[in-house]
Formats: sequence, C-alpha cells, structure tokens
Amino acid sequence: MRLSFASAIWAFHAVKHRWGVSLALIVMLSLGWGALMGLQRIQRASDSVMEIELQGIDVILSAKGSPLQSLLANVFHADDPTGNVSIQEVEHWMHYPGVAKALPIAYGDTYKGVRIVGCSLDYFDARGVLLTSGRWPKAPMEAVVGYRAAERLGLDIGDTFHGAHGIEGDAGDHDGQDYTVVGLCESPSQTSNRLIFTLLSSVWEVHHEGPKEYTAVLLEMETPMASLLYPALVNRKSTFMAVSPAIEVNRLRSLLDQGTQWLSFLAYVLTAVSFGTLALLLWIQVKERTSDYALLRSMGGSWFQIISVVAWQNLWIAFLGWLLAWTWQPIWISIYTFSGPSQWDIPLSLIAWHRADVGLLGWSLVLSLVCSIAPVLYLRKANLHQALSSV
Amino acid sequence: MQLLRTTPLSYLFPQGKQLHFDELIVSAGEMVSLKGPSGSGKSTFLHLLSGFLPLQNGKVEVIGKGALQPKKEASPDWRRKAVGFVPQRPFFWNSLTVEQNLQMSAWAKKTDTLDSALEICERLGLSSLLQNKPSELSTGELQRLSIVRSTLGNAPIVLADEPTSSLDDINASKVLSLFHDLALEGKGIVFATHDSRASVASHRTVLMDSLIL
Repeated sequence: MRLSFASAIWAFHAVKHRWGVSLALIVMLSLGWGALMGLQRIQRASDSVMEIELQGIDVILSAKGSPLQSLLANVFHADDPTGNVSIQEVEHWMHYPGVAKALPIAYGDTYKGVRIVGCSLDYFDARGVLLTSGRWPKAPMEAVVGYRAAERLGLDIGDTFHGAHGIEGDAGDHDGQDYTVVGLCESPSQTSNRLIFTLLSSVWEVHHEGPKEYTAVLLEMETPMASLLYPALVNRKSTFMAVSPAIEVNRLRSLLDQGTQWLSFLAYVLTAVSFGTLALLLWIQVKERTSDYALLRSMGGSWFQIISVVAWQNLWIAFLGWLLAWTWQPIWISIYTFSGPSQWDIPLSLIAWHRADVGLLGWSLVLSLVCSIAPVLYLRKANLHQALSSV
Repeated sequence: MQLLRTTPLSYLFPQGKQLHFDELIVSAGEMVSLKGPSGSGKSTFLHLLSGFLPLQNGKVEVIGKGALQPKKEASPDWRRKAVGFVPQRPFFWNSLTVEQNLQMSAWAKKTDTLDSALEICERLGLSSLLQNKPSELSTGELQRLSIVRSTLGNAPIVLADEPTSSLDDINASKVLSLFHDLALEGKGIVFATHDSRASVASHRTVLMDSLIL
C-alpha cells in the first residue's frame, strides 16, 4: 500500500468502527449545513427571479397607493392594482426626456384565476416574450397565452374563452365577449408564462362603460441617473405615482429576510453544537485510546503522522456531513416549494453544484481541524512511559 | 557481538523516588530477563532503553544504530531502527484487522514491507488470524502478534515488558519460543518479568533490586 494517504485510511476505519456516534454526528452536521445550503440556494434563485422579472423596468407609473403593492401587482401580477391612470395625463410622462421605453398595461379581468393583461405589441419584444406557436394578436379579443397558463387551463390555438370581471374573477362574467387564442408564448420571466396577453384595445372593449385608462406604465430609463431623478419629479408634479422597483424589491427582501435570518441563525447554532460535540467526542475517544496513539509514537511515528490520524477522523466526519447536507437539498427545496406561495415559481436546480457549497466544505474542513486541536494537544502532553505502562 | 551497551544509569522520579541500574551488555542471540519485585524498576529500565523516558545520566548505545544521550529526547529514528518494544498489554487498534494493524505499524516505522512479519506469522501459524479484528483474538495470540509487530523495521534489540504475565502455560511457552527464534536470528532480547517461567527460559537473568528511597 502506498502510505501517503494511509492516515486517512486508518482514520476512516476508526470512524467506521464507532459508527453509531459517527453517524449521529454526520447527521447533525448535515442538518445544519443542509439548512444553510438550502437557504443560500433559495436566496440565489430568488435573486435570479427578481433580476429576470425586473429586467428593463426602472420605473412603474401607477395610481397612487402602496408602492410595494404597485410592484407586486404590475410586475409580479401577485396583488390587486392600486387603480388606473388617465391616458391623457400619463402620455406626457411616457415621452419625458430620459425615458427610453414605455410599456402601458391595462387589466381587470381573469380567466379561471389567470390574469388577462392588455398591452401593446412592443411589450412582447421588450419583455423577451417569444412566440412558440401561432401569431401575435392583431385585432381586439385575440389572445396569446403563456405556456404555463396554457398548460394549466388546457388552452390551445383556436380555443375561445371569456374573461371574468375582477382580479379574483368574482365580479361576473363577460358573456358574449369571447377571446380567441391565436398564439402561445414563452418568456424567461416566470410571471409572463403564467399570464394571458391581449391588446390594450381588448381590455377597453370589454370595459367599454368607462374612459380608456392604463393600469400602469412600465418604463425603461436611458440612464441610472434618470431612474433616480424621474420618480421624484413625477411624484411631485402628477396625480399618480412613480415607483422605483429596485427600492421596493429591497423593502420586500428585508421583509422576507427576517424569516430567513432566523432560519440561518438556527442552522448556525445547530452547526456550532455539532462541531462542539465533534471536538468533545474526539477528545474523549483520544483520551480513552491514549495507549494506541502512544504505541504509534513508541514505534517512531512522527508527530505529523499522529496528528494526521487524529485530524483525519474529524475531516471524514465533516466531509461526510457536508456530503449528506448536499444530498438533503432536493428534500429541503421540495419542502420550500410546497410550502411557498404558488406565484413564486422559483426555478431551483436540485442537484447543481454551487461555488458556495465548496465554500461551506472549506469551512467544514477548517472547523473540523480546529476541533482536532484539543485532542492533539492532549496527546502531545501524554507521557509515553505512563501510557504504555497502563494495564 | 555486542548489540546493546549501557553505562550505569539512575532515574529520579518527580516524587523523589530514585532508581539505580547497573551497566548492561546484551549480545546478538542473547535473551536476557530482568527479574525483580514490583517497583524495583524493571519497566522503568526498559522505558529508559526504549527512549520513552529521557535519560538523566549515563548512556545507552545500540551498536550501529546510535546512542541515547542524557537530557535529550529519543529520536523517532531510535524507536524505528534501534529497538522494538512489546508493551505489557498488547495494544491494538480494534477498528483495524490484525494485518491492518501491522500495516499501520509499518507506516509508523516508515518501513515499506511487511514480508518478514508475515513470514514469522506463517511460521507460527498466525496467518489465519491476520484478517481478524483484535477483539476476536485471545490475549496469548495478541501477545505473540505484538512481538511479531516489534520486529517490523528489523531493529536489533527487542524489549518486552512482562510478556508472559497474563498467559497460561501453553501460551507463555509459545511466546518464549518466539523470543528464542528471534534470538536465533541474531537479535538481542531483553524482557522484564516476575514470571519464573520466563526467567528460566532466558539465557541470563539480571536481578533488579536497586530501589533507593
């Protein structure tokens, strides 16, 4: 046998020999690390979703109300709108210097709980919505359906449906005003995949009793400075409000982060307890087996050899704990996905490696080495004469 | 041919007890027993020769392998190449098989081959035990394997502490026979014992009665 990894082999046998204690430690470590890995994954996935959903939206113009509600309603389509804005008034601000693109949207109806969003054809291009089959709507009452919505509703090209009034669909049907599906679409935005799109004129046709209004206008600004200054100007000089999604996302994140921080704290506590136990158990084991280690020294074993046998035992447990933590990920993420809000369809890669996982492995190995210090110091002090005289 | 040579030695314990030992010379093929009552310093003398206790004075020399000097810790090389040690209790790693224990010892002694040890096992009929865990073996079997282990690295001197004290007659006789074989190969054997079976089997007995309070 080549002896370069010999200490790792002897240590592995020692870990295996006391398998009950080792397994308990590995499971404890894996629960702590696993929770941290899972939280990191969810955080990353959530950041990625936010980035995609907010791509090209620097400002939202909508009726006055809660800015966070406006963001959730007009970008994530997960809340009621704050109201409508007059087209005449908002047109001026849509063409204001510094505005690169303005995408008006109007909605108020749903079909079986799926929101029907009226928009201009520019919207599809700007939001990266691609046609997978059929064509774009050309006339009022023609619709293209996001692929997830189509799956859920069983809609295909040529099908017809009529919307129900109201965001919850509980304010009566628009009988006799059927939409016809003319296309199916797909987008990197999970939200867009869950919507039905039609032309703005369709929404106004269905709601012909009132004046033509937009629910919101999504703006892309030419410069970051414009994104910063424009909302303040609008809020000062108009009857509606300008919302900065970046600010609202931070506010939303800080609300969500409180729960995440508690979970992280518990995971860190669990990990700390695990490593404390690891240090204590190795110390007890080394104390009980002092004569075995002393024998290695009596045969000329160097300190490096002795330390490596001790440290490798902890390294194995830390590595196996980390590996098990990684294998927990599909379970953690399944629990999160089932318990999370259905609108947040976070695309999590269940088996993907992440750089942060390797970082945790590094920490795990370093901490396990730290846990080996006390046992090694104990052995350093151990007296060969006494250790080998004990009967 | 002389293998081991010591000057008179003394050792003062922190509690104030002091032991004196006369000079000792061991030749190749010689089996020397150290006999004396409990507390007479048999184990302490062996531990001084092994380098487990630092010499406070005098000199211990294994011809061709170097010498232990007062106040200096024995080098790992001394423990690997000059002496092989058999503790009173046959310590083995229970997590490993007997063969893995031998491999681990070879690793500690930085010797690449187990061939000579395996050959001794073969000769003694211990080969069938190599894949067993130590907990599955009797004390006599473990003691013999412990002696085989002490030969790894081919040190010229084998030191043993009470090698037969907990063994029945049959096992004690096997252990002593193994020492004889090693002596016949040219090694010098020194063992501490209060077991008359062992002292009778040795070529020479040194009485240890040098306790000074």
